[in-house]
Amino acid sequence: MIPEILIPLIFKLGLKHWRDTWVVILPPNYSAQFVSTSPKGKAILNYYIKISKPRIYNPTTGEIGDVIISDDVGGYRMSTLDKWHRFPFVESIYDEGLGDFTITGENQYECTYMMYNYTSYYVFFTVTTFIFEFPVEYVDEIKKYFRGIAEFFLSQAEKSQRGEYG
Amino acid sequence: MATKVDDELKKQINEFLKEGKAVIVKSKKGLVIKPKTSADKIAIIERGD
Repeated sequence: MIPEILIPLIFKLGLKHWRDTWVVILPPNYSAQFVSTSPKGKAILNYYIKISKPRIYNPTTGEIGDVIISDDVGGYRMSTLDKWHRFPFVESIYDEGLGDFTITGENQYECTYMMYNYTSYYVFFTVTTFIFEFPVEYVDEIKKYFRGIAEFFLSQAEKSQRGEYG
Repeated sequence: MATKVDDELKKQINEFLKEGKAVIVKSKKGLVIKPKTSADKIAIIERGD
């Protein structure tokens, strides 16, 4: 679901909505880090990430089988607004996406992931990132929009505290 | 649930898995993904547009 706070920006600046889906297969007893950046020449606002339930992958047959529930498989993630944190593939996070609101332009953004699989299985899962894309020149304007909203409400709160209303 | 990776993709994936690499399959025009360092064993397969 598109956050309502973005709707004025969509119409003002013509943000383009899209989703990017990755299929990830981890070998057993594995860990490594990778980074993601916005497409060349573009900036993005990455507002939500959904990760599927991981399943056991059979490399001989190519079959994707049963869901695996274990904190021995999962990942870590960090972005500009997202603290480095672990997301093991356990039931309490299966249905919970990763919220984010990172706004970045080309070369300004690196979201870092560390994926690990300390089980004896090959593990298959998918990741879908929900994105608005726009020209790099709009990065400062979009950040200004959000700061402006915060400043407006903070100024209203200050006026209220000073008894300037009612 | 049991679904299957198609044979051509399976062949590509397995080549990388044999090298001890994780595999990420993504679209060519999607976000840019790369290993953080040369020691991070990750292979990227780009498909479609």
